[in-house]
Amino acid sequence: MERDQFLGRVKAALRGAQLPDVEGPVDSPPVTFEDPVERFVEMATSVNADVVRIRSTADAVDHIPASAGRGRSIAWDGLDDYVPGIYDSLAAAGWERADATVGAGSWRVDHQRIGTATLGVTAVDVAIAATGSLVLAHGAGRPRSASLTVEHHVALLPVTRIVNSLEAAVAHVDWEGTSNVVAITGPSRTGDIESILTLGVHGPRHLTIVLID
Amino acid sequence: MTSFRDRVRDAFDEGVPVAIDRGARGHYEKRVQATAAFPQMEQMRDRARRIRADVIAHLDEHLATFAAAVEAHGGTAFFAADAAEANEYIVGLARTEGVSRAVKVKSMVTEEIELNPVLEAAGIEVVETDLGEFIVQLAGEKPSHIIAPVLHKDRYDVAELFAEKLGVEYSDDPSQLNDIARTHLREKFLTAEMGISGVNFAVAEDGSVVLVTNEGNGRLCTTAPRIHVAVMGMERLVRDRHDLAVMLEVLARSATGQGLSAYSNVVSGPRRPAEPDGPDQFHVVIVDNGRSATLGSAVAEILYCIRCGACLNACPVYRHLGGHAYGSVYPGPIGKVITPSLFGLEEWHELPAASSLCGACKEVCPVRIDIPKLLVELRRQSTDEMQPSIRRGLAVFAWLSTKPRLYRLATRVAALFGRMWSRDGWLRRIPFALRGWTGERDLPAPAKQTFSDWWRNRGT
Repeated sequence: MERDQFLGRVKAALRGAQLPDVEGPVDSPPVTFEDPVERFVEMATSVNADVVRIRSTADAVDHIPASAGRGRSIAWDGLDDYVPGIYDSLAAAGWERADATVGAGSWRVDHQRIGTATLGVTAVDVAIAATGSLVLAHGAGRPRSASLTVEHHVALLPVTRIVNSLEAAVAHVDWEGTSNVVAITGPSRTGDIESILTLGVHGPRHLTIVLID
Repeated sequence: MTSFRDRVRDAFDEGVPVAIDRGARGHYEKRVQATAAFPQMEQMRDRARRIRADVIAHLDEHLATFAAAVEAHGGTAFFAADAAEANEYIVGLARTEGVSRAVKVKSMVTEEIELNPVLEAAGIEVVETDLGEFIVQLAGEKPSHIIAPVLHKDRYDVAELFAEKLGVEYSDDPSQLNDIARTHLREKFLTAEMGISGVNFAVAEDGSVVLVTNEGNGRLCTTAPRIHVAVMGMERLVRDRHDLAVMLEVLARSATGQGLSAYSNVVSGPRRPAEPDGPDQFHVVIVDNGRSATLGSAVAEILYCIRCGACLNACPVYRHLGGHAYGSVYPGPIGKVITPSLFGLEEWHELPAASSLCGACKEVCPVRIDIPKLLVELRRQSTDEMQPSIRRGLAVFAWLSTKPRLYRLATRVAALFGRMWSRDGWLRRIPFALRGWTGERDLPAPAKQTFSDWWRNRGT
């Protein structure tokens, strides 16, 4: 149907619509926590994420999982801003980068190649204390696949990026520069079969959040 | 199709799986806990209702803004008057682009427009990727719950199904069943040319669509294939990201009792030039299919619905019947309003009647839709327009009620006959027009004294 015709039909319908008078509030007091970091750790843990807190960034690599076995990894660009030397450390630990096929900033994900990666390492734009969620804005050098097609997702999170609520988090994301923003709350899960919790349906089975003080 | 009465009888005869009641109750209790753990929940529900009311009241303007924003990001917005137009557009696109396989995220609107059979008839393989929906598709069935499609099956059913259809070794361990599906579907994701999704919310100001899933299939379907098609009912809109945040606060808590689902995925158009992954094409299909007629009616409030499924879980009728007996893709309390509104009251007039009007649905609705009121309105329309015999019967009763002597006489006569036909204090079968009453249950025999006689004599 032509757009104008479609919208005209909606407009005409609105004239006859019997809608209730709704005068609910447009705002409510912000959700706040005495210790947002503590709340974040509690909530993220409750949705089956592992949270490790490190004082020195050099320790970060120690928390890259060893159990998944060494293999290919997908890592975002710019992670050495948080953890200097992380790419060399990953390589030294036996992780070949599945994504490092073209120069930084312009590379594309090759799904056949990415499909074999078991580890993904990303940054976090903002984290939500109320629900233990991580918000990731994707873009150049920041593939979606790093938190999606892998078995184990490791997210590097400076504590200063934790805010109280989802509403507060909206202002901390660069919405204009990306085609995809995701709020991640724990590893991939389902309760479809008899409401029994099962992790790792299509996304990562494990989520490790490295909290950097 | 069989009549609603027959389907209800079948559901009782077969014995609705205990899993339905258990599953629905489980979701219901999780919602209660999540609400208790979130002190701002009631205020958020008020805000959510206000947001839905404001957007629906100016829906035409928000739709125009949304479509323009989709195009500004390099996407395409298509307006479909009905199911046929929506399906034709998607199949046409798939043909032009040489698509042989499409992966799908569970979506109520694509069930509603029956997209899958149309794609399959065009020779395109369609793979449902939500674990529950994948199971339903393998079994050749229909989902029985808006957000938990295989609530009617247990793990042994799934184990047998996988062994038979996928040729894998029998296992009834949910975690192994999950691994089987993961491996099977991962290959489909990486080879499909088209990903098809529904839309939980669409943001008017920036043309994004939001998909809420727990499994991650929503993200894979909108990332791996080179074409993403999002299908949405035209009422899915919110104005901006701030309103979106409020809606997300109430959606997951109401649906599954989670603070947020595992993935709240905001998609704004195709992959930008420098981005390493994401689709090259992004199409939004905006579907009317009866919604503008609903908007112009006395039950327009139903368009506030955000499809969380909380009313199904709370409904005593749903918990006893399961989703299939309703005969529509939209079951439960909300389905009793949506189905007749979208598909015609004449065919579906029995659904609004199948409610005790207990109000449990209204109590849990995150946007506080007055479902009982809407059900009563649909009942009124259906008796006025479609069941004149009921209307006439009630007219006789109304006339009789205003004639005290005659009324007393009539009740005495009725009580006399009632006692004559009863055995051991119970009426097992009433004849003639009222026989439906005793079809499934017995009626206590009338007392010897009528209420009005007792009332008149109470002081003496």
